[in-house]
Amino acid sequence: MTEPLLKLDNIGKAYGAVDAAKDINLDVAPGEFVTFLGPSGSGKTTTLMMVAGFTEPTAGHIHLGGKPLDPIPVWKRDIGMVFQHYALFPHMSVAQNVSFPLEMRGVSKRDRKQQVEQALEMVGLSGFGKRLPKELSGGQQQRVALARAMVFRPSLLLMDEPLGALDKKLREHMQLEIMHLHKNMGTTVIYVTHDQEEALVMSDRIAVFNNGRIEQIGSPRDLYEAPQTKFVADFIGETNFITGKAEAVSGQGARVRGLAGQLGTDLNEGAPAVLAIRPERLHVVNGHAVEGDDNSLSGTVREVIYLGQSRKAIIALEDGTEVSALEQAAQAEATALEVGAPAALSFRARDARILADV
Amino acid sequence: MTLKNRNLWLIAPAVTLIGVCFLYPVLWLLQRSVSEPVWGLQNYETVFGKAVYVGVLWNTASIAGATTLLCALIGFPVAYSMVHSRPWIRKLLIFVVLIPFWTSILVRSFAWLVILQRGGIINDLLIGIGLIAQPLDLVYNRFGVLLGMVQILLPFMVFPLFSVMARIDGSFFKAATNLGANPLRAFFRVYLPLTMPGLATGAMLVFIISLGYFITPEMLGGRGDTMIAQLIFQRIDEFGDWPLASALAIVLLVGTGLLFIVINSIFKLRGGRS
Ligand SMILES: Nc1ncnc2c1ncn2[C@@H]1O[C@H](COP(=O)(O)OP(=O)(O)OP(=O)(O)O)[C@@H](O)[C@H]1O
Ligand SMILES: [Mg+2]
Repeated sequence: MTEPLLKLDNIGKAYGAVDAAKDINLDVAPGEFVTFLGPSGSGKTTTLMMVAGFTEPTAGHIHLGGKPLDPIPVWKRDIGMVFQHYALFPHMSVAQNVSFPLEMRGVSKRDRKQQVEQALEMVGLSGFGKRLPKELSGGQQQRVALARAMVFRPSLLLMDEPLGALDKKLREHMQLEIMHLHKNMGTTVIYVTHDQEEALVMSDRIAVFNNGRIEQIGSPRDLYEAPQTKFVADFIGETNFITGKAEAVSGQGARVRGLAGQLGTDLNEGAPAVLAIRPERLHVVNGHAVEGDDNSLSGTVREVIYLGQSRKAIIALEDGTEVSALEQAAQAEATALEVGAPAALSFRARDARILADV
Repeated sequence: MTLKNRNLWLIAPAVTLIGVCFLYPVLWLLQRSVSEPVWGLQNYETVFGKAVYVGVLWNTASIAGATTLLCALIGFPVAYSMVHSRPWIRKLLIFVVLIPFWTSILVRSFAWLVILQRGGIINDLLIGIGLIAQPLDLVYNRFGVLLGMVQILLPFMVFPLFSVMARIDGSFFKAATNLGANPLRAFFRVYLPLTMPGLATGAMLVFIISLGYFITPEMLGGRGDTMIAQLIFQRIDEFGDWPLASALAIVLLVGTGLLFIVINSIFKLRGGRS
């Protein structure tokens, strides 16, 4: 990795006895799109606010472009920010809003006008300059907020759930627009969301937050395919868990209840563990075993759900644990499943992750 | 009109009350002011022509203006602290601001006399600690009038401001500083304009109520602080001069009304109170 643009060095924020964020370590490369993903109250906003300068860390240090950020007040940090509810100034027109950061930086009137026009054009809102924010739709307000946060060309752009207030369709559209802007402008972005799909679509890397800490940082693919904790496996995508103890721990592999999988984290023999397997990696066996699968399970079909392009089967294992198996329509046709009938399942050891059960 | 026509009778009592107790006397005053001693505008010519009367009009406007300004300067930080403090401090502040409402205006004015007069608490104290040799004139002058009026009218400034400030989202100020405004600029460019609807409502209330003030300037003011309401009372009480008093009353009413309309339309134009 090149010299990081932003470096969070073991930062934390304690409110009395409560740690809103703790032991946060993160390096963000120039031009990278990093997402903070996590459930409500997990410390995403707190961490973002420490970077923006609204919240003072109670531990650790932040560096931006190699310089310590701690002594620099908010208004001198030159970090762009899009607030959750946009925070467009209601008494100023769209153009005045976008012009505001330039004015604060002493840019001449002529240059301001030109840069504001450019910024509005960039977000597809040329000609909207004279309107008041309340005369715009939610999506348009969102774009104005983006233009205002980017018009002064900050090296770092922070966004706290910027699409939270939009409906699904508009949200998906704006996701693409933000990604395009990020590519075209080369701005480094830290993006906060609790929507895992949004995080998977948009990010170069995702930091998964839980209880004020970062559980795992990695590319969307890393997090989905190789979660290191049960929380991450559970939070990102759908996962089946089979609970037991770590057995036959050796090198990269181990077993839980006799089922083999890859070790996702260091585990001692006998420690409480779960085997995590994604529904699409769990195969319904039709007569003969699926090639390459080295684990097998059996149970009773509880439910069969038709999803159009795929089929989902809920199967109760002998101990009552319910697991789901997802099959593409073509394969599903080959294996007729009836509710109440016995079913056999199989999967590859390399698709299963064995994680600490906490 | 939000009331459906068939529900209009609901406001009949109010309409009757206003008609009998307000509209009728006003029309009566209006008639007397232009019909005595002969029909014409001679009473109004006196009001706007004689130096004494013009002086009183000026006193009235300038005392009301100064009271409004002082209430705004004092009330703004009070309202701000009320919004941004812990609940118990907020309750305490509301209580303190409201206390003047619970005591009669006469009692309060007497209290100021006791405190401010030449042999009063403040002068005794200042002389006692040797800070001054001669008592200060703290009352029977403009200072006394303004002090008394500001204390009484402060709530009319504080509460409209409080209700507007309480609804201002904290993220506006944050956004301003994030965009490069230091706290002072963020205050003047973003926070202050957003409080404008409250400031305007408060200022209008204080100014308009001040215009018709009587007891406070009468008790705490000097010769040079006569306001229009005192003059009206004087004309009737001492001289039985109803026509001129009527003209003064009409001037006060029309002036107040015009001011109300002007301020209101400025705010409509600016698209305020959003
Ligand atoms: N000013 C504060 N005083 C005390 N506790 C706070 C304060 N701000 C945040 N917290 C606590 O810190 C924790 C993290 O809050 P934070 O706002 O960072 O969560 P988040 O991940 O952004 O959640 P969400 O998705 O709901 O926005 C929460 O438990 C919250 O209650
Ligand atoms: Mg948050």
